[in-house]
Amino acid sequence: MEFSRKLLSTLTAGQSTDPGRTAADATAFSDESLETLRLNISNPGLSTASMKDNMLRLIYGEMMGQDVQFGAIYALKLAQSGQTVGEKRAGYLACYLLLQEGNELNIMLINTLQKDLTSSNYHHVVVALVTLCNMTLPDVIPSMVSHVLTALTHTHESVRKRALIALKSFYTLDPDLILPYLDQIKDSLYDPEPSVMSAALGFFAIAVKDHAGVMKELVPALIKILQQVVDGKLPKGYLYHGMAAPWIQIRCLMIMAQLGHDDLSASTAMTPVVLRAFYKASQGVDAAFGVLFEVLRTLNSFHPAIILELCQSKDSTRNPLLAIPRFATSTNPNLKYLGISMLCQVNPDAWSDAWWTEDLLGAVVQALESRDAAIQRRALDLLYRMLTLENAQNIIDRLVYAFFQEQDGGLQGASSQQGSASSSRMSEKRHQPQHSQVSLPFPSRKEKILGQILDAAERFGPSEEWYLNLMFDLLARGGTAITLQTAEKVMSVLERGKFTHSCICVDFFFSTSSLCSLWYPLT
Amino acid sequence: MIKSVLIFNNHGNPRLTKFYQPIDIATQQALIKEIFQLISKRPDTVCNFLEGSQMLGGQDTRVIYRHYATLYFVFVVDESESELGILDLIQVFVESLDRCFENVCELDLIFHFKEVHDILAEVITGGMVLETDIGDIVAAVQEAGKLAKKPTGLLAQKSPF
Repeated sequence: MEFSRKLLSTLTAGQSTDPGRTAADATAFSDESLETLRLNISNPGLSTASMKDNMLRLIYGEMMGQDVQFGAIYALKLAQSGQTVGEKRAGYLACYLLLQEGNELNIMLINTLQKDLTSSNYHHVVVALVTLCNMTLPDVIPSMVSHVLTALTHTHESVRKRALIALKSFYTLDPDLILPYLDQIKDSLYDPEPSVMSAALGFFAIAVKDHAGVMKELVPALIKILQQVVDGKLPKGYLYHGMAAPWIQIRCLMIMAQLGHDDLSASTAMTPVVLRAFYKASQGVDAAFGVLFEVLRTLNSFHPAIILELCQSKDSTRNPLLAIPRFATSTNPNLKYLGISMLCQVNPDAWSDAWWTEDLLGAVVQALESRDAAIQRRALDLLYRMLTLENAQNIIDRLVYAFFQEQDGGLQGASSQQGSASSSRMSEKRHQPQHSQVSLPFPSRKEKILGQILDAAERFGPSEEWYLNLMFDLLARGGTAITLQTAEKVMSVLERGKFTHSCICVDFFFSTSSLCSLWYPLT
Repeated sequence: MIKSVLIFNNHGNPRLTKFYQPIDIATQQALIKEIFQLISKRPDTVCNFLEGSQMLGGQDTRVIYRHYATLYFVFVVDESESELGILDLIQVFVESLDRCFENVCELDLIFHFKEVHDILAEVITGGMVLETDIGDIVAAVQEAGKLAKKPTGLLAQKSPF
């Protein structure tokens, strides 16, 4: 807190003493200077030091959205012939930004990387590995794997930890490339350097997602690591606000969550150490909350028997569920958000009346009315999970209300203030010529709520007439969130229910203007 | 996994952008605008988490940010990351910047552009947390800074005589 205030004062001070400079700098990178830059870097007599400066301007230009493709060859040259590590770094950084798959320069990049990876100067190895960590070029990576595996046993820890992250990046790109070497990578979990061990955990946190089955033998190692961290065996530098290495704990817990999923014996073996982490964290402040949250997530991912047993306990040191109300009822918006998120994580079978106190229910109701759109959305997701036959109608009504409140497309989480829709549309239009090829590849919030409503209505709808009325309303006023898929889904529900008034149904579909426009292209 | 780290000022001008997955430049700029529009509307009294960027991963992504005076520090992460862990990580990153620049301000980010990239690379690499020990981060950056001034190529090995 004290730190933030200090930073706050310096940041504002920095601006007030030199008000024009920031604004000037932002506009400094015009097309004109881009032209100068192009001339500068193509000068063959340029020293590598001034090439580095030009390269940094190039990277800056890229950040500002300029097209600086012309710099690729010079970036590669700088990476190759840089006299200092800093020059090499700048060259590689630009290479990473400018080289795409299939570029004919990639073969040169491979050569440069190989040379640096086998260099006796460990700084060069580090620079090459950092480049590989961010690398996504499928025509470069396969030839690098053996070099990176060799780097796993390098004498310097900063090489080892980066090698592990490079392997993680390779794994995300093509798991089959790395899977044969799992045993070799596993050894890094026992590395004496905590930062290398942490990087190895990072690798397994990714790899375990699809291959939990073949990684069960990690369980004892993870238990040991978490035990050591919780007991404060790591160096002092890893303490964060009094909490022992929260990031390493969180990573361990994430892997455990995957390993214990639907596996009773693994879950049972890991539960004691997870509870130990819970116990330690529940005594801490601030930084400990992240670990607490992860403990809850992990226990809920374990075999259901674990959480069902723990939730019986009235002892707050044994029953992690009892920690949640403290978050959900908090006045701190971050903790409140996490509290509601935690409630979403808990298996509904573990809910009990003793736990759902008035306070907790009040907190959820309050969150539903919250002016913070992020918290409100979390509460809606929770509501969806609370669906039962008795409360279905109320909850569906609330979801429908939220559905119509939500604006079409774009702008997630913007507080639903008046006028924001029109202003955003205007700004979109303004930028359209520039970014016309940019599409929105992911479903919007509105479509997600729609999915929840359709599902809830299908499972809990009291009558066909009610269902029909609801669908009519949604289809008529749903705007762009309604697609042909939505209509098809509704139709299939109606068909399965052997709908008695099918003529009305067809009638009503075609009378809906939004649907007519949907079907138009088909005819 | 961390998908992207963005720093921009109160006017939405980018000061540092880092993407840990390949994204073409037009989408990058649109994404920065999208996220700035989302965040700049939020008062400081609401939570620091947002759901879903439609440009980068949809509903499963989380946007986690901190606002320091004139700058927004924004991390876009997938659903497997811990929200509070990332929030603390932003603090570690900013504290590291502050130690390296001694009272960091927005101008430092512009005029020491490369150092900021180097510091970020010590904290996060390839979308993964690499180091959280602030002492180690600062030491590594300072060591790299010293090396930057000293040639390590052929010239350095040449005998002065």
